[in-house]
Order: sequence, then C-alpha cells, then structure tokens
Amino acid sequence: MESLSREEQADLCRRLADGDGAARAELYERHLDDVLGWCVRLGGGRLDPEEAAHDVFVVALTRIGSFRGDSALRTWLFGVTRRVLANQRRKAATRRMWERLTGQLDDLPGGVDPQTGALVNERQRLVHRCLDALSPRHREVMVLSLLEERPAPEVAEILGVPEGTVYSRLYHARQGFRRAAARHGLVDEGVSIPTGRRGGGSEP
Amino acid sequence: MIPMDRNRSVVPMPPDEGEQRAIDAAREALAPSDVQRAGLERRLRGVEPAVEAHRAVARRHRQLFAGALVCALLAIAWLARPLYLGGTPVDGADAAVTSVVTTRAEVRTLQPESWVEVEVRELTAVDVARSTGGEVALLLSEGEIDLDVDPGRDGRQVRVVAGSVTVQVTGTRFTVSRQGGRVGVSVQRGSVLVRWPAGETVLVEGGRWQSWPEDSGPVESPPSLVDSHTNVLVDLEQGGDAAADVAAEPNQASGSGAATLPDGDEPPTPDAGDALALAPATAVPPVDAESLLLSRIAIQRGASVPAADRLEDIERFLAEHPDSSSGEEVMALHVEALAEAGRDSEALAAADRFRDRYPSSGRLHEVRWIEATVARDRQKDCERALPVYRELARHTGPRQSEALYYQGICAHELGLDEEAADALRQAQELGLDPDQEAAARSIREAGP
Repeated sequence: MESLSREEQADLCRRLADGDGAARAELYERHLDDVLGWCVRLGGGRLDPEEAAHDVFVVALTRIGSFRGDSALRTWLFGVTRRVLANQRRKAATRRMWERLTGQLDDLPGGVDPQTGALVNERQRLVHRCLDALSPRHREVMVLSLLEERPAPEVAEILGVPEGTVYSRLYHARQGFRRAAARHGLVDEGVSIPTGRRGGGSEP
Repeated sequence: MIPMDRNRSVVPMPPDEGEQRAIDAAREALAPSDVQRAGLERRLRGVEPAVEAHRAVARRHRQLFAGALVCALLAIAWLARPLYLGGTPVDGADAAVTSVVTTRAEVRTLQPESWVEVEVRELTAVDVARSTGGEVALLLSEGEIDLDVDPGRDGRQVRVVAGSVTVQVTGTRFTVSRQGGRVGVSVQRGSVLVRWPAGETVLVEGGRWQSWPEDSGPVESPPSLVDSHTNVLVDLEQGGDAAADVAAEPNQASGSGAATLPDGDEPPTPDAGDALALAPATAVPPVDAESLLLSRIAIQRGASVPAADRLEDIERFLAEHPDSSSGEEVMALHVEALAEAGRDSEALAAADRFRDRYPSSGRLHEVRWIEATVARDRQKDCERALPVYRELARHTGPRQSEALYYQGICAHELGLDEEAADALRQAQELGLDPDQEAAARSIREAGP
C-alpha cells in the first residue's frame, strides 16, 4: 500500500483523534498486518498475539493525540507495540509465578500454551526458543530485517536508530540466532549451521 | 532466499544453506494466520468501549501521577531545604568556588556560610568562593546581589569584587549591582568599605555609591565629599541642587551615608591566598561592556546554562561587537549553542560563516565536527556531511578513525562503495568501538 505523505498522515491522525470510523478502518487496513506480525514474532510463545495486537490498537487510538508526527505512523506504532508486549510479558511472568506458588499451574499437553491456551505448534516453539536467545534489540532487528525482509533504511526508521546500528545489531543477531538454531535443532538433522565462531563456520 | 540487493535487504553477508533454512523455517512458523487476522478484525470492530475505558484509566493514572509528583517535589524541597536555606551551595569544604547564573525573573538565595546570606537577583552572574580562613568572597560579573552579613564574627569577612571595585564588610546588609560597566553599592544596615583603583570610602547606613564609566571625562570633586576619587559618583538620588551638583561630577564618592576613612586608618587588604586574589582592589582598568558580556558568555557556558538562554548573550555580542578580537571564539560558541538548541539549519549557516571568516582558525576543526554531525545525524544530509568528514579524516589525531568511519558510512549511503570500503578499512586499522567495528565489517563484507 502506498505510504502517506506527512500532510496525509497528519490528517489521518486528526481524524483518528476525533473518533472517525473511516479513519480507524484506514488505520487497520494500513497497519493491521504489521502490528499482528510484530506481536506474533516479537511476543514469544507465551503471549496471545491477537490479544496483544488488539491492545496495541486500543493504546494507539487512546494516545493518538500525543503523536506529534515527527516520524512515520508505523514507527510510532512499533514503539507502542514494543511497550504493550513488554507490559504483557511482565504480567504473564507475574501470573505464572503466582500460579506456580499456589500450585495452580498444570502441565498442559504439548501444543497448548499454559497461559493463553493458544495453540502453538512445535515448530513455533522452537523458533521462539531460538529468538528468545537474543536480546530484545537483536530480536527486533532480526524480525524486521530477516523475517519481514524490510530494507535497511526502513528498519532504521522503525527502530529510530542510524542505519549503521542496524547493520551492527544484525551482525550480532545472526550470530546468536545461528548458535541457537544449531543448539535447538531448528533445521533437520544433517544440515550444518555454522555458529560463526572462529574456525567453526563457512562464512566468507 | 534472502535478497542481497542493497535496496531491499540489510543482509550484507550471504547466508549459507543451514542459516537460510533456519530463517525460512522461522519465517514460515511465525507468519500470522488468516484465523488470527480475522479474529483481530472482529475484535477491533467493537473497540470503542475498550478505548473509552482505557482513556478513563489513563486519566486516573495522570491524576495519580500528578499527585505523586507533587508529593515527591515537596519531599525533595524539604530534604534540600538546608542546601538553600541553611547549608552551603559551595562544593567542598574549603576554597571552593561556585558559579551562579540566574535567568530572567529567577532569584536564588545562597548561604555560603551560616553567617552570610546572598540573594542573587535576576540576570546575574556571580562566583561565590570561601577561603580556608573562613572568608567569603564574591566575584560579581553582571547583575545585582543583596548580602546580609551577621555582625560580631571577628575575623570573618565578606568581600565583593565587581570589576575594579571591591566592597569589604564585617557585618551589615547591603546591595551591590553591576550593570553595563557601572557598579553601585547601597547600605541598608551597618557599614561597608568601598575601594576602587584610585580611592576608597566607608559607606554607612543609608549611604549609596556608584562608579562612573571611565569615558565620562575628568571632573572636579567637591572637597567635602571626596579625597582622591577619580571614578566614582555618589548618592545620585539624594535630590535637590546638591544631588545635581554631584551628578555633574561623575568621578566622586560618598553621600549622606558616606564617610572618607580617617587618616592613618588603613583599610584591610586582601590576603595573598584569597580565592579571588586575581581580582585586586587597585590598579585594575575599568571593565568595558564587551568584556562584561564576554565573561558572562564564558560563565554561562561553564555553568551549563541551557543553549537557548546562552544564545541571547552570544547573539547580542555578535551584533554589538562585530569586529571584536574575541569574535572568533564567540562565533564558534554560536555554532555550538545553535546545534545544542536544535536550530540545525542556523547552526550549519553559522558554521559556513565561521569557515569563511576564519579559514585558519584553531577552532575550525571543532566547528567542522559540529557541522558534519548536524548534517549527517540530524538532517540526514550525507551529501553535505561527506566532504566535511573527508576533510576531518585528513587530520591525524584521536578522532581520525571516527572521521574515517563516518566518511565511510556517508559514502556508503551515497553509493560510493569504493570510497566507503577504503575509508572503513582505514578506520578499522586505526581502531573503532565494537558497534562501529561490526558495522564497518558488515558493509565491507557486503561489497559493492
């Protein structure tokens, strides 16, 4: 979808702040896939991405008045998503700890997340486990660059960092991801995944 | 496969088969499903009540936060009370100097010792020092201060130095002002000794004293009021003919509350070890408006006054003293303050002016760094930043590798891959921090 000019974006935000239903539909049309994708890929296996994405839009619609328009709306939404996911992770951890203390935490059969009840297949569990091995910053750049295949300037804009930083974070993220993928057996046996350590890989 | 086109991907190194498969697996496993998308769309159709509820919660949080903030500020004010009312704003125990600069409508109260209280009025720059002997000395660069000194403390004195004028006191309440080269002293209680390059006098309660700018020309002094004064005017506000007579005699001292020192009664002289010994009470040329403003600019910068406030004086200086010998220094400070204040375009224009006017200045290097940083980091203008970085990269020194690195980054942004690779290689050889090193390696490995 064609990106909005600064004036069009300001107009959309104004209409959103006024509670315009058409503007809301346009917001969903433009950014629902982005936000849902971020929630799936950055949330980890223990959060319900649908729930998280819903909360992102609720927060965004509540706070749209504070968006100054200095950056792209997508950049701002990414910031909202990041905060919502952090909050939900914190809440989930607290809940999990409480349930463990009170003995309410049952070991559910594989494929069902104990907190959300969402179906999570084994492959997703493995991928999340590999991504969980990365720091949040590295995970973000990994998701935006490699899984979503966004160009470097766009990733830099979304994260609000210089392009050089994107490169350096991606470098470290790939190293970590390769190591985690090898450790958890993300790919079929027989396919070697170089870890990036000296003498241990086949990088150029 | 991961695309390698520079405009499509940030992946500088081609992944091998294993990594590619892992990435493909991750991409496939974490693709949002149609079911999730449809579920979200359904939920968002009824989002209005949730938004309203969230707004109500946010309002409540704001109210709670404001309440907590007020409580915290009150607690901080209570805890910091001794610092401003009963303690000392001077760092360290002895011979410490603190610079205080107040902005418009700002008044600050200091208590460098328990027996002296200083009220610093708006738009004032003053250095406060305590010597090891317990003496308090104040260097007034501009503005006005009120002092209340508790008498009966033998051996403890307060001195105020304002340009070539020194006011010395052992116990009294008085005001010293310094505006545009003119120094004024008025005494509300007790007495003070006022000394200036060519004379001295004692002011008692109700007395006022004011210096007169040097360029007023020579005058005759009424014998009853002065002895050897050459640069002083007294009691302009006494009224009547006498006041008019005195006002016509600018270089005089004393008034209704003034008295000259009796013969043989030597005034106390400052100790050699005083914190302000560099500001002697005699033989100091009068301070002109240009120097005053310059010292104010220097003090403000040292005191970390916000750039927006510093700019007022800097721009006034540049407008009023366009041919000053200090113009080079102030123009460089102008570039720095504009950049710090976020006035990027003006900072770049000021940098251009500086380069044109002082092409061989020792501060040009520093100005060029500011220019390059503003152009690259704030304005994303690599075309402007690149030639500056090229120039900076030619200078050997501690920042050469950084200049080479940014030259490489800018060249890379502009598609000048050969220059980018060459500059980054040189930067790597000189040494970079880990993040820069990783970025440089990635870009070089990606190749043209």
